Amino acid sequence: MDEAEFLDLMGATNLIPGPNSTEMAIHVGLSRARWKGMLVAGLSFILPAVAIVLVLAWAYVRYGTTPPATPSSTASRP
Amino acid sequence: MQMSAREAMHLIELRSSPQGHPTYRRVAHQMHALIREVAGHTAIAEAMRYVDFSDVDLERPRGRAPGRREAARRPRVRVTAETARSEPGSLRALALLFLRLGSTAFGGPAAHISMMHDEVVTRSAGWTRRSSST
Repeated sequence: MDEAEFLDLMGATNLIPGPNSTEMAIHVGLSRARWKGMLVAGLSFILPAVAIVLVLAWAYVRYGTTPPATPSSTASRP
Repeated sequence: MQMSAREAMHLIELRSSPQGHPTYRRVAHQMHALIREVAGHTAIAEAMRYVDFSDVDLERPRGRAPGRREAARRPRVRVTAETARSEPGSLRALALLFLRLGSTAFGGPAAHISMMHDEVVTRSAGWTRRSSST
């Protein structure tokens, strides 16, 4: 992919609503391997973050009220 | 010349590192010795835990060793870059690339896009240029 194509995709992600980086991942997938690439790139980009958030959410529910853990949960309040 | 203990600590620890030039490594060692022995601030001298006392003249080649180790590790990256380039449309390469980005990219959309740019534009271009020249 060259600079111009990347910039075109960047323009497209700025035009449409939603998270730019995820849209960029999906665009790159589309340009490399059509609609299957689109799905694979989008899912691959999102799944690690989903897993990390799930672990944190589980830890918050499990340990959020334990006194030694409260500083870490207050520090990362949204 | 005047400096606080904190400044001396930073300067001496930084400038005594094995990657440094022998001339200023010697100065850093002398400063540390003067603080401990002449000024008598043994506690401050003890607090500088990262001062590197290894021999000034012999250290330079060993100080460069991490760079060489990095070079030895590079082929592994090159192989993945090569496979990704030889079949940029393969779903496997695509999934590996974005799983890696998805789990290592932190810092919001701007940072993600910059990392993606490195991966899909800069790196592949650099690779093509390098491989076509050899």
